[in-house]
Amino acid sequence: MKTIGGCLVFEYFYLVFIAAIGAIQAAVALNGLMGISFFNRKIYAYFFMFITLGPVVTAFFTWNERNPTGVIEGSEQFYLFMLAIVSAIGFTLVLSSFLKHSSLRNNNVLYDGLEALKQVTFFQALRHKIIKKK
Amino acid sequence: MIAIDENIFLWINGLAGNEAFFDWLLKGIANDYLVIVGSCLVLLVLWVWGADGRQRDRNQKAVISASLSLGLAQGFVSTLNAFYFRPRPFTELPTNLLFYQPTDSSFPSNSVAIVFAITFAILLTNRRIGGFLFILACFHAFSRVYVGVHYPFDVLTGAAGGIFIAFIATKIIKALEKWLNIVMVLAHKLYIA
Repeated sequence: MKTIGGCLVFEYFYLVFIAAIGAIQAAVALNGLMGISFFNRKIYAYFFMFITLGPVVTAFFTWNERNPTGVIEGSEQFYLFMLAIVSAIGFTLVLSSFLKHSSLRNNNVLYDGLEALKQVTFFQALRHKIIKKK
Repeated sequence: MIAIDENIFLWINGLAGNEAFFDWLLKGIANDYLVIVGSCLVLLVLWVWGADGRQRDRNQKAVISASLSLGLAQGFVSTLNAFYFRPRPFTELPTNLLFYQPTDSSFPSNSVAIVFAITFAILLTNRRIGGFLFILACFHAFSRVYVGVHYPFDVLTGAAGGIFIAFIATKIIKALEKWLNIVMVLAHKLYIA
């Protein structure tokens, strides 16, 4: 199988990137991890999931109609997928920390792990850990 | 054996081209991206999923096991491809081809092996999500024959290989649990697990 063109690679990357952001927002809303959610209300997160995942699923579903001979090789697909996922996680952590910075500022870090992100943002939790060590 | 495989292929692929809706649906499900990317996104969701820390911990170990299964399944297919090449059915039989023409070996099905490896690694821990993935994997396997890019035996071997690899990966993860726990504690401290 041959990879056809850089556009295909870019298309695959941004589709996975958008889908991952939508999936993460739905999952964190369902589990109450408000520190990494972009929204204050769960309903907005579910709506966000629909407007991100819906078009991406459609785009992947119709991939061969839009790119009849366009194939991304398995190993290349793996690297692109990992890159898109890591980028989506990084983007989510940065944007949610920025959006929730003031609303979660006064909360304490009571737990370790993802459970802590129910009350504080990712960077607030890290900051707390560094201050505690000092 | 080959004759049976070819006859079943001709019967399933013979269904293609009769109903435009089914052709459209199965062509979409058969492609190399939708089901694989979907299954991997489920792993991402499962990483943060859990009513409490313990359940999340179990899910995260299943995700690690599924990721290992994915890698091993890819290796399994590449190894078999290095020793044996089976031409695609559309090069040998009259086929209703609804898809592009892949040039790599038909046996075993790479995408089916990967999807079943992920599915069974999850199914061993989380039956609800694993069950959902299993239905998706079965549709994907059937659709690969329907659109004319695999023989039934290719997808059955891919599925069986994927399931076997998922069991092996789960055993490996159990054997390495002590080391894995150390990594998980570190990930906990960094708030990523």
